Amino acid sequence: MSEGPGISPAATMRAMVTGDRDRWVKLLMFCCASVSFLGVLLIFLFIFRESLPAITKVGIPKLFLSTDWRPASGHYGMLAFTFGTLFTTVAAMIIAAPLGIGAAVFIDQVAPEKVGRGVRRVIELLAGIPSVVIGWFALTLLVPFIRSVTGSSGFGMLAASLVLVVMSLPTITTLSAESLRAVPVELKEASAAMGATRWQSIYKILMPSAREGLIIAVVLGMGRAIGETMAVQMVIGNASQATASLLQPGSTLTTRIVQDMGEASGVFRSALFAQALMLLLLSVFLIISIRLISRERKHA
Amino acid sequence: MIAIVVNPSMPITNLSDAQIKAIFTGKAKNWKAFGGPDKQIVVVIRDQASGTREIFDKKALGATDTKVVESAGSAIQCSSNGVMREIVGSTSNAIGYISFGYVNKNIKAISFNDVAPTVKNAATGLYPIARYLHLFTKGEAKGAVKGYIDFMLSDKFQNDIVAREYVKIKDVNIK
Repeated sequence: MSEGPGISPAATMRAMVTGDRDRWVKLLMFCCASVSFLGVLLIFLFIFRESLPAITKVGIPKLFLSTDWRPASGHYGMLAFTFGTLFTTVAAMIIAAPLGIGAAVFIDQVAPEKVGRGVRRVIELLAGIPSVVIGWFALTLLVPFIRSVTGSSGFGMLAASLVLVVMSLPTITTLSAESLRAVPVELKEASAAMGATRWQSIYKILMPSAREGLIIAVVLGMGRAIGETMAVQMVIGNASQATASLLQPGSTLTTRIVQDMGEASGVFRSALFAQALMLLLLSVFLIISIRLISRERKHA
Repeated sequence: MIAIVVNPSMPITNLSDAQIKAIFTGKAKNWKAFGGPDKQIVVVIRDQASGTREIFDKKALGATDTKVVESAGSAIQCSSNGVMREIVGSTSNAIGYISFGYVNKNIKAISFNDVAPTVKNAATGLYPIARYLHLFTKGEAKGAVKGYIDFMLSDKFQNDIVAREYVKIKDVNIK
């Protein structure tokens, strides 16, 4: 916007408001987009910069590929927590994926419309419950239950995984229901016309047609599970060991960060940022896999 | 002062410093070796930011500013005295440590090197896992700050508030 001499600012403004409204709106939208884009970029750069001291001083193998986490004596291996994140997430998905997709089939195909809508609303409501509430609930009910059944402390990977099932279920169910609904009704009618039973239609026609959508629903559910912090931190036990035992206490990347960030400084703090970097990489990986799946769907 | 606590159902009333160290560093894993049931030891510790943990590591496990004693990797970390009491109180094979004022009937405080964790033993220095809590001021305290400190040192405050969870300052003689 070049201003010639002799034109008052007020006149310029008036001209812009009346004549160039489009351009102003465009500019505003551009600003909005830039702010979010730059925000994300800044977070990436910041986390990378903060984790640099740990990467250079500890070294990538000892930082990312070691399970030896003893910050007081200078051991900052995060593998136990990366493993904890993946382990609890996968364990949660093993339960949540069939449960969520099953619920979606029920909502979309089996239930009468009113019932289906009711179930759907309740599951959506589950997504709105703050994670600290779910965590507290699990701490007072789930952990003592696991304790009484197994004789362990109750805190551990199993409790964390079950909490993640609850946290990721709404995402998986609603998205699965969407993708089932998106299957053309002709397919279903054709299947019925061929004499297929309801279950044959669902298993042979509906589920394969919605396959990519269902996978994306589960992947997004995983994203939710990987990032969950508060509820998991309350029940996982926050031990620093790597464990594949469901009844042993452990940690995930997020719970380790929130557990230790209060008092951490220097390389210790930087090592926690490196864990944040690891989390980001996991999310990026998930997003890329979603893109790949969607592309496959378009080509199919 | 900090008490070492177990579940009330645990038939153990005393542990030596060597035994405590073996348990909290993860070398000892079963209660059987200490005269308890044949059960895994669930160690519960406080988080890195905890002052309770710092003092416990120093005075019970023998850590110093330069020499670190690492707790067991399998230890459950909790972030408050309340959670510690909750876990130890409800897990039959757990052991942990807690600020003395939090000890109640749900958990059992045990002796350390045959010295019972009592206010008297802490005050005389016989029970070693105890410390002074300090107040810091910028320069000599004056005005409202001085008034506040005087209030905290007054008999009324010491009897009514401090004595509930801590030890009255005039009873303390920790080296």
